[in-house]
Amino acid sequence: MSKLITLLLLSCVILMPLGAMSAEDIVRAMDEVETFEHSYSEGEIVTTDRFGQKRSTFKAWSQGQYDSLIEFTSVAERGQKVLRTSGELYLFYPDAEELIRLQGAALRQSMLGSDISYEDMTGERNTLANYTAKLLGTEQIDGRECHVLELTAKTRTVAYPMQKLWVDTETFMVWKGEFSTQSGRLLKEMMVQETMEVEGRTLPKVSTISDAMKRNSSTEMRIHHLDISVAVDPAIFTLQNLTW
Amino acid sequence: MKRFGLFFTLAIMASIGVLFAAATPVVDLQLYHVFSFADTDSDPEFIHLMSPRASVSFKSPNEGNVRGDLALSFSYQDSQLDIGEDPVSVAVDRAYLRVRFPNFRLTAGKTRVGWGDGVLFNAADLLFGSSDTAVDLTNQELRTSTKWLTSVTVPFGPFSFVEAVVIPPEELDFHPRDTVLGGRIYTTVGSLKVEFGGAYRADSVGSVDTGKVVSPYVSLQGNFGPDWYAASSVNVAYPASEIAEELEESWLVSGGLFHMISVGWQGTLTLRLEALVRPFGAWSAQASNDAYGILLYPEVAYVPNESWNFSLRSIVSPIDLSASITTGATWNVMQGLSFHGYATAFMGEQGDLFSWKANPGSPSLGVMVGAAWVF
Repeated sequence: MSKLITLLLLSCVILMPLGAMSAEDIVRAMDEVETFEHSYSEGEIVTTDRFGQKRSTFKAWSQGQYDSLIEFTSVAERGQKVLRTSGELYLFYPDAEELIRLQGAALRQSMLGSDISYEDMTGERNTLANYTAKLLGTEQIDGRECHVLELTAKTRTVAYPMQKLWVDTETFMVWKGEFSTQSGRLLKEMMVQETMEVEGRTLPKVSTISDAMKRNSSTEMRIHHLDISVAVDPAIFTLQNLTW
Repeated sequence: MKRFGLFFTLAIMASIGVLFAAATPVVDLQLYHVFSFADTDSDPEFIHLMSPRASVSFKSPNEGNVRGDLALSFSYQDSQLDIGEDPVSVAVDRAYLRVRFPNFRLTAGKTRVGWGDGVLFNAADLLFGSSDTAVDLTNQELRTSTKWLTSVTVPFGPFSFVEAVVIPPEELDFHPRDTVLGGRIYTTVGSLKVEFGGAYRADSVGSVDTGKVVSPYVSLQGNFGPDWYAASSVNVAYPASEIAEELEESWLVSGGLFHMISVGWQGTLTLRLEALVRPFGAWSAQASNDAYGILLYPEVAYVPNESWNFSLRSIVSPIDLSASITTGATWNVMQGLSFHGYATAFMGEQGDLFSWKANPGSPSLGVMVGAAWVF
């Protein structure tokens, strides 16, 4: 019996380090929280500067790894749609009945000049494909215990060479992000202001993104509705629907 | 066309009250100061005028299987221009109904059908034409003309469809032979977009029917780092004796390159270069300069953030070394409100396609400063 207890204690000591999450495990868990098979969302991007607020509203659908459709509903952009598929980006401007197909660098561009890229609207995240991760420790953000991660870009194709992320130790939601140049100069900061519970996951509802180089200017991403259990019709991601 | 257009415009204006109840109107109001300088052989001419323009669009909600869009535009030409027409004009820019059936889609009304690729030059644009240089480079969209038409689109895959178009004659005293018929197939082959089709119309001199013209085209789009696109079209005429002559006059080849570069963490630099080639066009400078063998359209736009946009657009005629150059800046200052500034200059000698010496309707130098408000 004593041999068995000794063996169990020894096993616990040996296996304990394996239970602690590595930086890569945390990044994978973080990506998993933000990955949906299907989703439908409605939201708005509000930009505030010294002249006031600019508001763009949208509806978005996503399916699997690559497919997403965004339809803008605010007055100035009403009816403009963006369809992203694997390796292609289709833009539709209803007033000119213009269908534009783009490939290459256009896929990485931001949506409406905001901090949300078209890639951000798609289903799968694979941060480790573009970044190496290092765990710096833990810190409290608004009373929540967070892993502090440092991500360094592997390629030049990403927008931010360096990222510092505060990832919730329980929900793996990113509460705070700092995005910097390779030399460490801070470019922008992201902070989650409000969260929502969706299908057992904690996700950002209101996030603020501020430009470190521009005072009195910030962008707020507000998700009014998010459904990740919805069965999205594959016909949504077709040219017939895009040009409708 | 004018009588028909006026009747239709009045009918639409009478129904605006009903439309207000059914759709949310979107108003685009543009007010510009226009300064122009014309270097003529006699005294130089300076003009300063206001150029107001407004458009009202009524779009049906994007719900169900029926939708429509009605857009009217109003513009005012200052009497200084002495254009000999009513200074106030009202036009129907769009007025169409679209119905989605289980296997096809029907569109009827005044709208545009976008064939091929190209911001300025597009040999595949058989139905509306994208080969002339009489465009306003200060407009965001350079080719926006619409026609009364009916089209049917039948999908055969997520990114493939067949389209048929009928464009009736625009004159009231029309003859059925003036109807234009068109069709195209749009699909992808690997990473390549392939589009081909054609248009059919009767050819006439005045009221005399002189034969038939079939215009086939092919358009391709792909990526090798930058995006690229190319198209070619030609008229195949009947009777056969005119085939060679028609082919030489009508053969168009267009192509373009487009690339976006991230600048900083939010800025974007976009580069575009388009070319229009007429293989049997004029390849040396000459007095009749409307069919030069090659024309170029370079465009550079820099968007540092969501508020500012700087652009440089030009139409270049390499044969006679002349160009029209437009540079502009846009400041999106508040919700829907933007300030714009443009300067356009014509560079070239008298008789060139673009000339500093003023031609009727095109000054040597023009500056536009103003604001646009969308609400």
